[in-house]
Amino acid sequence: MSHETEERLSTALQDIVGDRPYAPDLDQIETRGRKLRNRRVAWRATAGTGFVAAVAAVAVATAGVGTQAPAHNLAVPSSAATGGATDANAPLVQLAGYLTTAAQPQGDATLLLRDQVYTNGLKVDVWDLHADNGDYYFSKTRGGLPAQVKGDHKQADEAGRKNVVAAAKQAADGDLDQARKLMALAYLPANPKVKPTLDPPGAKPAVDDKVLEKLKVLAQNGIHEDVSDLSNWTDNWVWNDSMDALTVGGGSPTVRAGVLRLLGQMPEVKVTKGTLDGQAVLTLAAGSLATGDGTQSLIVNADTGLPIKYVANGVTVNYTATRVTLADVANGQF
Amino acid sequence: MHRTAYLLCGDWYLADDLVQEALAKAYSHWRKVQRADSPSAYVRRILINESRRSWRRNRNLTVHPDADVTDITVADLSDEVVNRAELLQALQSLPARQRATVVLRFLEGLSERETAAALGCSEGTVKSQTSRALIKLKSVLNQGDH
Repeated sequence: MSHETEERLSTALQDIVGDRPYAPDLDQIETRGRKLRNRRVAWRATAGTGFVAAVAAVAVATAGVGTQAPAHNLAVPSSAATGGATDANAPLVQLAGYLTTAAQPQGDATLLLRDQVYTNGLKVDVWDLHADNGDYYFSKTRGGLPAQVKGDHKQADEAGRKNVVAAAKQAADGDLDQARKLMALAYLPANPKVKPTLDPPGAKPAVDDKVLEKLKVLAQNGIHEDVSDLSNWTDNWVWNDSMDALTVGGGSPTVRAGVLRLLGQMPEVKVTKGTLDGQAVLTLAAGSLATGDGTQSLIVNADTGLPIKYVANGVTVNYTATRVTLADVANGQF
Repeated sequence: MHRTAYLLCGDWYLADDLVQEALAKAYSHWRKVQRADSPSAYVRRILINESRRSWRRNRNLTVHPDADVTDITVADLSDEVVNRAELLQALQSLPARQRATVVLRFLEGLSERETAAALGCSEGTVKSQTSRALIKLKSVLNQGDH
């Protein structure tokens, strides 16, 4: 092959790509990066506990003694968990019940302003447009959305996004046990190499001493944050994925009802009534058993269940959701 | 990275996503990136792996690589004519590894050794992949000569 051809190819490729400007979205990269890292750590712990459980099961089977443990009912809070979900979470149950009967709103998409304020003072506003059919458009400015819709510039189709909405819908009026499972596994591959172990809400995972030792080593290396307060990874997945469901499908009262039902069954999620800027709100505070890293809180409107504020890991996200039609957005009339 | 991603996938918007995802993965593996002999090569490899995954996920979708290539035929610096859209299409029709080899060698200007390191293969493989790719691309590259 001649050197001339290689040079011509090089010039042509440079010509094709040109000087198109590009600026990576650093906030999204950081958020996604943290999520990936947390998920990986969760997988390690799950794989470890799963392995121990498998060894224990084999030991029982080969010894031929002992009684078989009943299958976990994912929807039933652990009896070992302190503090019931029933009384304290009554407002949540009541609101979820109301939302399941609420009429579906007008429009075919939900416009969401995410006003993100970081503890270092950085403020980042972004605009999401989630269509009811699952399509997702994104822009850093409100004025940028019409071009995204007109140009059909949908964000990459992420199966997990649709899965979290489907799980929430099932939780609203279907089998809560199955919905919890769907929500927990929404972002995992269909045929994972390591089958995840699912725990009931609020259950402290039983971890073998050897696994605990490994986790301590991870903590010493800065990979795992807090060994002494090991999380219930199923609750952690449900909590995180529910936050996604609220942003992706929060325009639907059914989705909001499902999310509230799922969160309401976790004993470590405490609900308090209050007011914020003159509106009645419910604050859902999740402990580290569910978050894996300190307390996080979600504030929703007490009458509609719409998300208002989410506080976690050094960032506060304020939400403003409105219903629109894709056609109106494309025409700049929204 | 963005330009490389575009030539790997043939779509600017997919390229945006690829770079975002690659950088997010680099962030999540930051300790490994820092410890790598060449952090940039490590991140480049993440990008290439991500583009393969993306291709597998979207293999049923039809990508129109010429959608953003407005000037279909232009004179290049040597005053010879190369059809951009056809070249981009020909590039997309190459097997993933050949495409990555071409992009790394002729867009990023990596040496055969650097390309081999980025792709996790031998220098011999880079040579053979380059040669096969150039044979397929030659007809598009040289059409202005006739």
